[in-house]
Amino acid sequence: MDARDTSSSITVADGLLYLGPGVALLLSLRVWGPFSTDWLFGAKLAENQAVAVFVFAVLAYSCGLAIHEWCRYGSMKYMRIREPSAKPQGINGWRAVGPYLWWWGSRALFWLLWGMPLPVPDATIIEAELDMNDSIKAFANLRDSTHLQSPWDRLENYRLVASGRLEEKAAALLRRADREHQHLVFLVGMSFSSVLLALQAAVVCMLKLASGAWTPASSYPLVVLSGCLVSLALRRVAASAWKSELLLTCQLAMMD
Amino acid sequence: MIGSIDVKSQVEDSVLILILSYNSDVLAGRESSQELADRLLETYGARNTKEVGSSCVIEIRSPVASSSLIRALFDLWKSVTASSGELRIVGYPKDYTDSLTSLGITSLKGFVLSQSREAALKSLRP
Repeated sequence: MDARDTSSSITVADGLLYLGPGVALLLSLRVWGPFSTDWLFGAKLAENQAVAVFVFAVLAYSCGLAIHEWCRYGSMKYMRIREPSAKPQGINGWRAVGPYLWWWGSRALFWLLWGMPLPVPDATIIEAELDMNDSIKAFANLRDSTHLQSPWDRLENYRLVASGRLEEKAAALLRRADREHQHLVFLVGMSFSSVLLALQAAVVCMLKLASGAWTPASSYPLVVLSGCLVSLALRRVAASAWKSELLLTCQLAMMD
Repeated sequence: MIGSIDVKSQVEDSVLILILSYNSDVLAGRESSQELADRLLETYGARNTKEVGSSCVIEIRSPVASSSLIRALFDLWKSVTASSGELRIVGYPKDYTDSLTSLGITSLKGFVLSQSREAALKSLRP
């Protein structure tokens, strides 16, 4: 198996991986009011359904890519902010209240948007991850690999680097790890879109309350609740895909 | 001193403190992690076990980090935990902390990032 095989197998599912969360995000804009393609594309363009669908797909794909980048960044920062060392120290007097509130606020925000159960590696897994770092460094003749700051980049890059030299018996593991990564990307993206839907519904809800347009029969609280619940459920599944991907890629690194 | 790696040791509150400094060129070398680990392990191994416990604080006094440094710290952690101690890391370069935490290494028992030497020593007090 060579690197080309791996990258082409990823490309097949690429569209769906990013389109799904992108479509979900665009459809979530519906909470602001009736969806008008005239507003989105202009009256003339909206008349031609084929063009409208194409533009919608391109928009959705772009949103999906942006969601993926936010999730990569968010997962990295979520791991960082959970660290006890990130907590402000020496809480004495009112001057320290600001940093402390900032820390709690950002911790809550990161948990809401990207929080999920994280894999808890043991020393063997860490050793394998450090080997992956060295492998990537040696392959690309890099001075260092500390630029691999997202927890997923290392695993993905290592599989690409190692795919050319791994024996056939490792190919199944590699394909399985790639599949788990695709599941992870899709689930995390959908989870993020769901929480954004819930947040939008919450904002609309508050605006309606403030303007006096609120009716008890309104379905917005239900949208907020279901968006949050769906997001949390998807994150739990995503966490399991992440754990599987980590373990499979570490097995590959140990065989390498 | 090998190359530009410098490891000094101090004892405070019966805890061994290793002060590590190096320049960025050292970290780029292929053998740097081994060299760093050897220096740290040598200094840790030479501690007076009657005077200090097995836990250790390492204070990093350089603005850069690399995967070589992470591996050296991991090797030191293995040695410290093998002696039933804990490792506290002070001064890990802020710009590189994300790559350290994304490895999951800070979830290992006894591998803890501390904000200051005082905080590290306080957390090691019985």
